[in-house]
Amino acid sequence: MKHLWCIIFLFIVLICTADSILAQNVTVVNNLQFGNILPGIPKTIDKANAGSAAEFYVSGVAGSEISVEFTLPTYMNDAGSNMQMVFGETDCSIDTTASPDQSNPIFDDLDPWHPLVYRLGSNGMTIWLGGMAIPKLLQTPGDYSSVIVITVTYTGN
Amino acid sequence: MRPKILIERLVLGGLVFACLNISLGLAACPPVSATGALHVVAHVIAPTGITAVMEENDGTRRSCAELILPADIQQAPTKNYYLIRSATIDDIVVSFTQTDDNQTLLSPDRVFTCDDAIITGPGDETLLIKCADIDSFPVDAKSVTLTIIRCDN
Repeated sequence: MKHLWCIIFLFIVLICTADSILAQNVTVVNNLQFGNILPGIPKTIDKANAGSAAEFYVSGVAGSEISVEFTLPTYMNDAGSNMQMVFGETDCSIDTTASPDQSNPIFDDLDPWHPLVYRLGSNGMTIWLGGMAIPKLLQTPGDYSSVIVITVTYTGN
Repeated sequence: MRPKILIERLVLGGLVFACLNISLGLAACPPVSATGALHVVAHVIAPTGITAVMEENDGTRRSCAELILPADIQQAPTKNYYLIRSATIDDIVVSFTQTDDNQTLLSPDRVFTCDDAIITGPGDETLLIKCADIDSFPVDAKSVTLTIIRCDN
């Protein structure tokens, strides 16, 4: 009976630690904001543009390798009207240092269309994303919006 | 074997099996994922009257509203002239996009090169631009987009 209680205790400890070991969180720090756009005039938001570029913060176990994947929109919408968006192959940057620097990240010019695999730093990981909006010449005025989804997964490495 | 001991050992075995599964599972992979979603937002404004847009050398275009300090544009008393005040523009290319009241495109973008535009002005502060082909520019168009492109020279 003594062994039984030991095993039960071990079982409970493993269950309790399983979640905490792999727990991570993605926080949206800043939306991707293009501001005012004139019809026919494309507007680009650089990933280093603080306050306008998209910014995510990923927390988790320092040193763990994670895969970052984006689900990127190709259009913004407003009441049936679409406006094209483009995310280039260098529109993403990542910083895993203790003091993330948006203007000089350690991993720059990354392709947001492919999974990005890096290790979490002691202060997690900060991810920035820029993009371009391409309004048509006769683009209907209005407030356009879309959603970017980011999925972060531990690789187990 | 007594039933009580048999049951005890069966339970023990089951728990060991479960523990092994969890341990192996933790080590082998089961990637736990997290997701986040943010919004992309933009406000498209309707051009009214004359809208000035500057294009930088790297292709970045900025609307007039963002050029309050570096440049200012206004329609000159003479209908075919436009005054552009800027301390930074040395030479320019001008293009016009014309639309009517229904935002119908009246003419495709027409680009006037530096040679086509007549540029005069006292010093660097004020530049006077005149369309090279004034007949092609209907001043009564309801919406005109004027693009000012800085030249490299």
